[in-house]
This record gives sequence, C-alpha cells and structure tokens, in this order.
Amino acid sequence: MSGLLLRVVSQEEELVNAKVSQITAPAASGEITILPGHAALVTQLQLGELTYLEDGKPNTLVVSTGFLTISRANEVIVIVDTAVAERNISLQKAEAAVKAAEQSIVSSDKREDLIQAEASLRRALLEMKVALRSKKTKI
Amino acid sequence: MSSARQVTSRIKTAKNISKITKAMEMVSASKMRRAQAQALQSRPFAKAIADTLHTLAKESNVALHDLFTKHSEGDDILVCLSTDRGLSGSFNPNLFRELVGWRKKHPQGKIVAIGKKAVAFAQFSGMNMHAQFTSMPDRITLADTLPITTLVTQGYLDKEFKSVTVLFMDFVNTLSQKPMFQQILPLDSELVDSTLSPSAKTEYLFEPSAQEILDKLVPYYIENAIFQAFLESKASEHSARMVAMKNASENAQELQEELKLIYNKSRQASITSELLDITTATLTLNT
Repeated sequence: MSGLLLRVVSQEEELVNAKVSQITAPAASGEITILPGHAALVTQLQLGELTYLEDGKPNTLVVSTGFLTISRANEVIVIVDTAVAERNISLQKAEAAVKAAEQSIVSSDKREDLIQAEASLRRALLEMKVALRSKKTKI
Repeated sequence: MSSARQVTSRIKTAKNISKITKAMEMVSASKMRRAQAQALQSRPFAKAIADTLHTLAKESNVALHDLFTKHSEGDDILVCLSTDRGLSGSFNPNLFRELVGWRKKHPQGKIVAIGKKAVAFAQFSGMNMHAQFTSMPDRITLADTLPITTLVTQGYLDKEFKSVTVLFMDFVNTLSQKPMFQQILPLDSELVDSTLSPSAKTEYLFEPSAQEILDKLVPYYIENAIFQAFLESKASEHSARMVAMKNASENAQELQEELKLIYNKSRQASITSELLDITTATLTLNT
C-alpha cells in the first residue's frame, strides 16, 4: 500500500511535505491515528502533539488549533496557527514563555489578554513536556 | 569665475542626494528581503486554507452560511492598502488610479483607508471614508490585521455593508507589482461551484460536524485572506521603494557626470582665455 502524503502548513511556513506511513493527530474530539486508505475526513485540531512515522522513525510536532483534511488520494493537509518541530523546541525558550505567560495572567485583567496568555502558557507547557521526554528517550 | 563655482556647488548637491538615496535604497533592500520572504512563505498556507474551504463547500451547502449569503442592504466597502511613507515610486499612483476607477463604478461606496497616503488621498478627492488605519508596523503580524478583519466581518453581518473588497498591490517580483481587487465578502460561492465536478465528489466525514467546521473555517479564511493581502502589499511597497531609490541614485550619478563635464569645459575655457591674454600681452610688449 502506498503511504500518505503529509503536508503541515502554519502561518509562517510549510513545515512538513513528506511521504509518511502513519499520522497521529489531536482532533477536537480525541486523538486519531491515520493510516493509508483512511476515509476522506475534515476535522478540527486542538492544541497537542502530532506524531508521524517517516521511514519508520517517529517525528513529533507541537501544533496549535487548526484543521486537518484527508482527501481520497491519501493526501493529508494540516493547517495550524503555529507549529514547532520537536527538534526545534528550545527548553529555555519554553520555560521563559511559561514565566512570561504566568506573569501576564497575574498582572493583566483584560479578558482578551488573559485568553491569549493562557493559550501561550498551554503551548509552552506542552513544548516543555515534549522536549523533556525526547531528552529522556535519547539518554 | 562664478559659473564654475556654481557648477561645483551643484555637483556637491547631487553627490549629497545620491548618498541619501543610496542609503535609503539599502534600507529598503533589507526590508524588502524580509517582507518578500514572509509573503512567499505564507502563500502555501493561504492556498491550503482555500483548498480546504473548497473541499468543504463541495460537500455542504455553503450558501446557508451567513458570510456567503448576499444581501442588498448597506454600502460597498473598499479596503485600500497603501503606505505610510512616500518615495515609493509608482506604488501609490497606480493604486489610486484603480481606486478612482472603483469609485466611478460605486459612487456610494465607502473606503477603509490603510496607510497615511490613502487617508490623504481619500480626503483630497472627497471620498467617503468609513475608517482609517495608519502606522501599521513594518513586521506585520496577524494580530495587527485583526481589527480590520473584525470591522469588516461584523459590519457585513450587521448588514451595514453590502460587499467588502480589498485593493492591494500584488507582489509579482521585485520589478513589478500590480494592483489587485479581491472580494472578501460575501464569499464567492460561484467560484467554489465552478470547481465542482461530479466525478471528483468524494464522501467526506466531518468531525464534529460540517456546520461547526464551516463556522470556524470561514472566519479563519477571511482573517488569513486579509493578512495575506497585507503581506503582499508590504513586499510590494519595499520593492517599489527600493527600485525607486535605485533609479534616483543612478540619476544623481548621471547628473554628477554631466555637471563635471560642464565644469571641466568651463575650466578649460578659462585657462585658454587666460593664456590668450598672456600671449597677446607679451606680443604687444615685444613689438
């Protein structure tokens, strides 16, 4: 069976454009795993980890909210606001982001600011988690 | 000789101007590189969203969505993306020519002017301005364009606007940018329909439901379409400015050479006439 063609695009850039054999994505109603030959699907994504198998090796991305489309031609398009590849996550940066977000949650009282800070806090925490885990597995 | 002195001062002026324009050219060049990269990088994203929306539109009845339905109340709105600063060559004149053309077709239309130049032009030509946004940052982010998106979407839903179109300079390459109209609202359901071919129809599953995804995706699409227009406009602006400044530097350089020639000629003339004086004087003395 032929593999899946995965494309991950974020606001800033196209992160992935590769043939993969399996994708696990954080859909709005729970995590889904996609194998070749999956039914055509359009779904919303929530903040979480997107894992795909490329040449038998797992790769992880931290993605924020967005959309995932599977077409009949085994083509998977992931559209997200932001996405960071696991290897590009900087632990220090994530920690700094956590601190900054916590700070602004404490200090600000505007609703929009709070929502934004909370979202970036969640993302930073998730990034830290993924970064720490990948460190452990390497050692 | 006074004319020689005048020419030297003009040479100096041309030299100073060329220094300034050269500096501006280099500043624009670096800004241009960044803006171009940003505009080109986000193109796949804009395309992917449009593709998904098309897929979705084939499967569910988009005509039912509020942002797709046409209504005849309210005004036509044109969002005009211009620059805050001048000296950008033919960027603004080309843009405003299209603006005037649009104005002729929609005499009742209102303008949302973005950039100081558009505001000044709209005031000067007595256009009806609905809103104005100036001093947009150079390194533009989605958050900077959200107020404009909210303004037009809300206005459309409240039936204050009949249609919303964005006019911006589409970035083709460094040397050419062309003005482009893009209708944002109502979303063009015909454009979606034309791509629909019966054989391509596949049964899509929707998670959670088509309606819910559409409700999320459509505003997302509009946000992104406006953001992309901004990126294109910025890339075009810096490219246009860089080219304009390059031309100005070259012209200043040319002027300098011309003036130098005039200066040398006049110097030569004065030397010749002095020599002539001396020879005639010695000749008269000897005789």
